[in-house]
Amino acid sequence: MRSVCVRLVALCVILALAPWAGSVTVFGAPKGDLFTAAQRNQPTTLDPAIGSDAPSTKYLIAAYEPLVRNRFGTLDERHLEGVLATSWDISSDGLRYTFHLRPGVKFHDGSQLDAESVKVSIERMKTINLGNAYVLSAVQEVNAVSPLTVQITLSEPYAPFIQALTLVYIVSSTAVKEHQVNGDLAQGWFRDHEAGSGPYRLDSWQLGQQMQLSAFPDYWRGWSGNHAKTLILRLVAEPATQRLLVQSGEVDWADSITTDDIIALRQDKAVREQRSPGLAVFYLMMNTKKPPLADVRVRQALVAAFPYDQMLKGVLHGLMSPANGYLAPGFPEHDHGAPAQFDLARARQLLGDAGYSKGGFTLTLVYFNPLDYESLGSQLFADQLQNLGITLKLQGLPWASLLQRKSDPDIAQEPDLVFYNVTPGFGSPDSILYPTFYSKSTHWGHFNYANPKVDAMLDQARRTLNASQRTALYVQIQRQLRADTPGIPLMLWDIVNVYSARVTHADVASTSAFVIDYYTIQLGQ
Amino acid sequence: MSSDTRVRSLDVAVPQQRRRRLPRALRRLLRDRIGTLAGVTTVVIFLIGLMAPVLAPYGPYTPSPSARLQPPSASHWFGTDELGRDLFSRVLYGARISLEVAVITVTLAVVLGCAVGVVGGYLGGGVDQLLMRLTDVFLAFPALLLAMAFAAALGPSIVNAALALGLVYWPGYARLMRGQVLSIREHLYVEAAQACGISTPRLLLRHILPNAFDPVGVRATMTGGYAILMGASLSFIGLGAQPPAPEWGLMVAVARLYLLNAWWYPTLVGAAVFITILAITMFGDAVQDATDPKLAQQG
Amino acid sequence: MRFLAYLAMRIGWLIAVMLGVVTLTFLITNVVPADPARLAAGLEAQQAQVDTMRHLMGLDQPLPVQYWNYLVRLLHGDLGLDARSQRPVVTQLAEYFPATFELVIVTMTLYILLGVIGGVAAAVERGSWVDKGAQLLSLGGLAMPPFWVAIVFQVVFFAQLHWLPATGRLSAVLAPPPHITGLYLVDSLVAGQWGTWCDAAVHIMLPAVTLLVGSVANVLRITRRAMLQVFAQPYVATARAKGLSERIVIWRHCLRNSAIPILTMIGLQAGYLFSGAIIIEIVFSWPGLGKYAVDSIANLDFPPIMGVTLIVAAAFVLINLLIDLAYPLVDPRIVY
Repeated sequence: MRSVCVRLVALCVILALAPWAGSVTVFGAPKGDLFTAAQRNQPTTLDPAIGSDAPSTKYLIAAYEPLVRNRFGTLDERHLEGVLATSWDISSDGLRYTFHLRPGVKFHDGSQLDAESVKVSIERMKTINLGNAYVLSAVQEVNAVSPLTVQITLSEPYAPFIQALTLVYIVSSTAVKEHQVNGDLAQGWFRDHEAGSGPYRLDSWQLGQQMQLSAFPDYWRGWSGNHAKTLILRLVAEPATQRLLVQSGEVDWADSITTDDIIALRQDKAVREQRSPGLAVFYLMMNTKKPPLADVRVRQALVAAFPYDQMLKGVLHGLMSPANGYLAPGFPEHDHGAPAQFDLARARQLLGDAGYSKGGFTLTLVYFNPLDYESLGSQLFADQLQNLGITLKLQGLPWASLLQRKSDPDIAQEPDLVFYNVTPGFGSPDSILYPTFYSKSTHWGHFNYANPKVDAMLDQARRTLNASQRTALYVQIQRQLRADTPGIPLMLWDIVNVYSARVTHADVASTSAFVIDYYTIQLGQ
Repeated sequence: MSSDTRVRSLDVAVPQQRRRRLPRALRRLLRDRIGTLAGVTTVVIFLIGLMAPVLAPYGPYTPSPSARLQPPSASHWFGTDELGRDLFSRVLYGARISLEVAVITVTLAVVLGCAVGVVGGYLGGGVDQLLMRLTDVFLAFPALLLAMAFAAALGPSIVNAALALGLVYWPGYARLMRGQVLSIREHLYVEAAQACGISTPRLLLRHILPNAFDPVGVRATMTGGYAILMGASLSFIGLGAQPPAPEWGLMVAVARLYLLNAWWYPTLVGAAVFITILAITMFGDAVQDATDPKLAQQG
Repeated sequence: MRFLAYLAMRIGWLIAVMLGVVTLTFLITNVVPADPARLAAGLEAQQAQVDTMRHLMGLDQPLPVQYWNYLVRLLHGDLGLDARSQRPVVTQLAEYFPATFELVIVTMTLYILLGVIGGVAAAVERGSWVDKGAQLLSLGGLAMPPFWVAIVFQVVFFAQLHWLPATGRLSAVLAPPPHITGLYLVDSLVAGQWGTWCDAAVHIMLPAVTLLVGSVANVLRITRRAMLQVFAQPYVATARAKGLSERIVIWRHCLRNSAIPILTMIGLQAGYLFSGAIIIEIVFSWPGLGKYAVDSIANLDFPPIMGVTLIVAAAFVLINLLIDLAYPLVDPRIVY
């Protein structure tokens, strides 16, 4: 028996050591101009007309380009940059947008950028009508006036349109025509392939593992200077593993490192931190139609009962900033009102005014499960509400269930509070305020709030072409929201990007700091 | 080594001999020192669960954000968690929740499984075949996948997770009971009872079930152990206990985010899970060894 | 002839069970009170877009109609479309299946080897430290939460020792071997890519060992118990009395006679392996069915959930069928 056991152990040792010795020990720090990113999720589709979530955006920004985009670091629309468009004019009635296209731009499939490709891209996105297509809902027709001039006509004025175009990626019309099957506008092909004009071409996509992209030699900006030439976007679902990978240098950028790890990594010279002020606000949205939260005094009491300092300084180590109102202060249209304060006495007083001086009711709070901030914040809140005699029941739900619970036809089944964050899609306050607070919005961010005055102002802002008048309207809207208190703005999602020390420079997208403009990456040694 | 080949006759599940078998099995169990230790540990954990509110130095829910993730110290034996709560107290309360899960799961699995098994085994024929196919369908599901699907459908909570696990484990009991019933129903005393004109439900409940029950008891301890482990896995995925519940699985799931900063946090909670399940399974094993009539014994 | 009749009956049973699995999964996924159309249409979608999606997914039909449509499509090998990516579920499953299959096969080989031999050793040396040690080790593995073991292994073998990689099936810079089976270990051997084979083997080590830790216990314990029961039989004494060497007695006679419960347990464990694989795939970012299943359940994406369940249940049922059919090979007294 002993000899059998010994032989077994020997076999196991050989089985373990042999491949290890024989393997090219490739894991370890990559060299040269390869940039590796660790991401928590992968895109579900590569189609630029459909992909609208964070994982898709991180990929689309490499392979595709829009007509215009926000200049790095600012949302001000006066600083919009032309990407595929060199200049543009807007008619005085706000209905006609004329774009002059950049000459000499090539798509990855070899075809040239022309007005036809813009027309096909926009019409395709509008017809497929998924993802971000809602920004094109006002588009009436698109005309190729000349090979490098495109005119878009709207059916009604939509002032944020120019900013919204940052979400519309231009695809090669040749590719659409070539791979069209049964009138599907090449959706089948675009799901797994790409035909963009962006700096990087998709080389391979191993589902569930990684995407590999390489520099497009004919990219119109050229490749002089220090750029990453190959990108590997790896799927690594565990935050702890992401941290290990970026510490060892095996990965250059990790997107889901927890706040505690970020603090711990500050001691590590092999890792760099880059903090960008956030534009997404974390809200605890309240069910304004369900008693007792239907009473605005109760809602205001809850606003005063949230322990902001405990959350931001205690748990998050100051890595997030306090929110101020329903719009992030990074927007030029911010109303600069007074931020909320934690004041239990005031909360008690407000509850007393509403008839609940001893509390005595139970609220349910629902949040999206994996995000630790939301879980921690909710627990801290529950503890404070105990002091007011209010019981807070928590439930973390998968995303689909959360959406369903929120919009249950039976209001008794709906939760009282929902914890989420809304990230602006583009640089106008319309991208946050309209979907979240317009009474008829079907966007997932909307939760029962309805105020006809706000509706009217939102609609009017969309039609107001004069920037300063529009800003005045948005300020009024924000003030009204503060008075109505549909939710508790908690904190700004300041994005902290963690890089390996090799990365000497990387610009983040202005509206979504978790997206890096890969072209701007510079790698040292 | 010499093997003692004294042959033991197969114990027949006749009522009188059962009473004699028990003390003999108990003696065998006590001779197995490790098994006894495991048994004692299991009982201790059970008691801890029951008496957690008395034993715990702090409440399990009071956060103290200024004292987060502290290492073990005199005032906090296991340190503190991500919101500054005392980990030792939370682990004690966690025993309570694990106990709940084990009890709910095992009860549901045993009741449902035995009902199906006894009915199928006794009635035989088409009913038996149908019930056995139903059992096969449930058995064909991987346990975690089935539990996940049920928990997602019912809504994430620790009770729903326990119920979902009960729905996962009942087929084992159905098969077990059916096997037992099949061998028992041919016995003379059953025929005698039937000759007396006893009604079928009474026959099943009073005569067949008690005699068939032995292996179920042993298996129940194992199922309890697995239920705790699976409950932890469900919490890991997010379909089980919800914060701020001090459920062990949920705590390990959250603690893994802090593994590199506060290694004692997931280690100590993981150790609690580990010791509990180890004790339960070793105890179950020892009991099975002690009551299995087919094992040779040493002197 | 009787064997063929038995085989036919078992295949009929297999189909009946699979039908039951399909029905049960369908019922569970439709009890869920969530709207996958909204999710599939995208976070920014307006109501019209959601309705379009609902119609595309066929969710506006009554339940029995949906069930019938599903069965009909199933017979044509169409498992529907993954709601989020609009890719056929069959394609997705084909992409993810090999990774899980490779992991399960490697782990199975290991736990059969270690479990059986360890169990025999424990039974032969009953009461000694070998016995107690083997039982303790294997039970210990069973008792540890798999996700905890996985993370600890990563921290120890990757972060501290830098011996083994943390995630994935292959190093990021290596291209996968030409696709034949989808199993990297097989494909790289066939293509003669020794470097890739070594890399794939090194990557599968941690996930396989983590999965092994939890599953070897049952095989070991069943082997031990079965062997002990066999040792008590009179024919063992007879064999020894005949002068046969201990080795032949143990391996040729005792193991053969205890093979049936061992084989049964191996078959059952294959099902439990998938449960463990779900957790391991998440922690090690192993691109298999487990992770796909968890993501789909979180998104209440019905077609993939049903697809994964079907594949896994089918695999489990098939394995057990094969094992049942193997019984006569082991025990000539069993005749079908």
